[in-house]
Amino acid sequence: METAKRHMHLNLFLMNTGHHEASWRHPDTSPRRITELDYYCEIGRIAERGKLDSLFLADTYVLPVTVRHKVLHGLEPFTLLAAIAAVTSRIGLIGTASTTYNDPFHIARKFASLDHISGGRTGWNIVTTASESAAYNFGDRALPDHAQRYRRADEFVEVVKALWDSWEDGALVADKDSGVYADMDKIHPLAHKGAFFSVQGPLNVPRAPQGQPVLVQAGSSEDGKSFAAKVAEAVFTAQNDYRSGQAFYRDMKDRANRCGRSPDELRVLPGLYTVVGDTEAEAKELERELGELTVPAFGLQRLSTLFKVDLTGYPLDAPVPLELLPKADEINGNRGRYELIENMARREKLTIGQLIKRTAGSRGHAAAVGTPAQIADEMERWFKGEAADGFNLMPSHMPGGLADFVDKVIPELQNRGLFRSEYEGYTLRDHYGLPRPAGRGREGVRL
Amino acid sequence: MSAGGADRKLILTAALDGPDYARCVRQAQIAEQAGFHAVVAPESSDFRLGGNGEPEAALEPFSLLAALSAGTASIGLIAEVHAAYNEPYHIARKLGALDYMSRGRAGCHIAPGPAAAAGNFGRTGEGGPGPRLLEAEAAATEFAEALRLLWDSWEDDALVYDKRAGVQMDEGKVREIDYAGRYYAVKGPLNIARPPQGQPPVLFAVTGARGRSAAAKEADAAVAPLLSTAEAALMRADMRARMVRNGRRAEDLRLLAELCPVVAETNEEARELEHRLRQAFGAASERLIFAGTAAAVADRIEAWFRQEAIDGFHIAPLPRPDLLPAFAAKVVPELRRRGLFRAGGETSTLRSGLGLARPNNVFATLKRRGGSD
Repeated sequence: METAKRHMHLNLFLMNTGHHEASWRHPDTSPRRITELDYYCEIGRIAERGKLDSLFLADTYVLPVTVRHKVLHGLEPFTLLAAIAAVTSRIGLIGTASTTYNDPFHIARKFASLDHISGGRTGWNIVTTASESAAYNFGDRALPDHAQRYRRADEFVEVVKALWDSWEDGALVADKDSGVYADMDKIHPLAHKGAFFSVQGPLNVPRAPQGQPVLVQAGSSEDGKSFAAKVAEAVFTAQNDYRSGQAFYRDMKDRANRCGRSPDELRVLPGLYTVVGDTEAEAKELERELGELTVPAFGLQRLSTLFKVDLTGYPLDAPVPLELLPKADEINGNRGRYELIENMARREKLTIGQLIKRTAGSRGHAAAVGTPAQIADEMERWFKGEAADGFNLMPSHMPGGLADFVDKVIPELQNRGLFRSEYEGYTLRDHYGLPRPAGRGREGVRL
Repeated sequence: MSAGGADRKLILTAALDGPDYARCVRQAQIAEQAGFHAVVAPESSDFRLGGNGEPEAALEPFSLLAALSAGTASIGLIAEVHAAYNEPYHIARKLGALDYMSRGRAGCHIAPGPAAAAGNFGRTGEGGPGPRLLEAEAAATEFAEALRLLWDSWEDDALVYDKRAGVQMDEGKVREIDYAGRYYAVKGPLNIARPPQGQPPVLFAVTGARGRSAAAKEADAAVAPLLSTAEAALMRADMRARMVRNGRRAEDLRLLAELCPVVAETNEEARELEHRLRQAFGAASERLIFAGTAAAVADRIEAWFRQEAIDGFHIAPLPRPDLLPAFAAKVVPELRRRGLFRAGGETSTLRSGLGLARPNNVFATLKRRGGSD
């Protein structure tokens, strides 16, 4: 699909009422709609109007302690994406699933099913679960340590890919005349026995339209980056400024190269928090309005959870107590994000209140608050300066913030020749310009 | 609606089958247009060959039903779940999501899961699904119990979304359940609020005595492979007794017989088809087949239903794709003419369609009684 003109890739990072933590309090949002299918139909329509590459859903297996003041994640990703698949026709559907609290057979089966239902539009955001309390929802075991989780993830992903390939293309014949339903010579067991899993196979779903759904990775710790360099076709990341975006981009492409892959097989897509206004003042005013709606108690709780230090008694105008924070390698949860926000506080000598406001919308991701032209400028700079192959869009509030982006920023990007005006293909692989993986035959699925 | 009485109406559910999404959509539409109460998406946890030597591929039930929730308006959407290979937390969330998106049409059919699938779920150095398989009915009972508690971890009015005060939920109405059973442990609370139905209905398949015991404890509806009205009467009497022993009201369980309806233009043609099907099924899997003209099939259904042992029928996956459309087009209108089946087009929750009350939240009830929570 790669043509002479390189286009950026744009996903909608879909989060309930929007990415600003106080978006649910804004008069333009309706938090009760986040469990209604109509809400997602509307969002899907707007996103397809903007010719976006995909919708992406994050996920967590716990009720966050911060729930009192912030809207729930909403609906479980597989279920929601399958419903959205039924009401959309082109947009990609990326769901998050953890390798720590699932079985490879289930995950292979779910994504293959979703790929069939959606006509080849799915991607799997592979996470290893950062929340220690998630363990207690799955049988009272402690969260395995960071390195162990990634070793398990390595094997998990290899097994899932082999299961996807356990039916060759064309194994499902369904020839009514000859009465042959499946060609058994093209369906292969895995008989896998590894350090973490034993999986007999084959899968009970025919090979997916995309061959393999697109593999996405979103952790930016050291373990996460080497994992992504090996297996991911797209990397979602939080980079809060252009320079660190460039450094991350170069690092990931180099790592992919060292793994014997073409840098082009890996799309680097940082998150971009957006607030769109017809004038700069209007955008800033909306951001200020949202800032006014943040609940300090929620911010303190959020930082306490991230830093593993109880900040709930601290005054907002006190400096972030850097001396009390643990070292990054003591963090077993979301280590990449910890480092990012700790660095931000250190570098800019922020007070607790300032850090809360700085991260209330973007949560450490890059932010673009301004006119359509200003936002497009920033995106163009990242894209042309090799800091990004595209972005995970994080509208401040939904669905209004998305509609503003689609109707105002997208045309600006299209006019500059940076983004597609029409979909050129049907599958997520088509949108991302990624090749469809070939099958590998009987011996190939034996790991 | 109650189990007895003059307004008693037949319950009908039908299985979806196969890996072809478009075909499943057609099946669901046929069932919905005919006024069926629900479609059931069968689960598969392993690759296996069917009676005809062909692979029994199937789409994953929750993805399938969620997609169907967008294209249907009134039919119930029941996902089969293999308890041995799943975790209650994942399943409770998916059912919650499906229940919200379908406006109260979700349900689940909890089956133990086939032992043969264990080879797909081996975890090196961990116990694996062993005990959950060896004591399958007890595990399935726990699974259902854990689901109900997870749904109840949020009281119905816990979400307040008070924009002015910045308070999303009333923390006093959301709690950890600390469920620690023999086969499953889950702390909770769930990360989605209590579903529209409170608790989506739970179905069990009942075969042996242990299956009956499990259903009597946890099931809202039971699907049974029954071969005669005499067997059905015994089953109902036994289930009544078991439910009462468990402190439940006997009328709080819907009993459905598994049925393969074979409708043809003439009785001879239908019997010929029945004969061929029985040969294909094999002697080992005897099943209930009503074969004949639409009127003859309706007669058999009426006779079973009037006996009042069962509340309706579940149409399991059928060996020929034309059998369900024929049943929907010919038998259902006949049942309706006889006043045995609902008019169709009713929009209600699955639970109320089955004539079941919306359950109280167990924690809220305890709190009202002044008990500790």
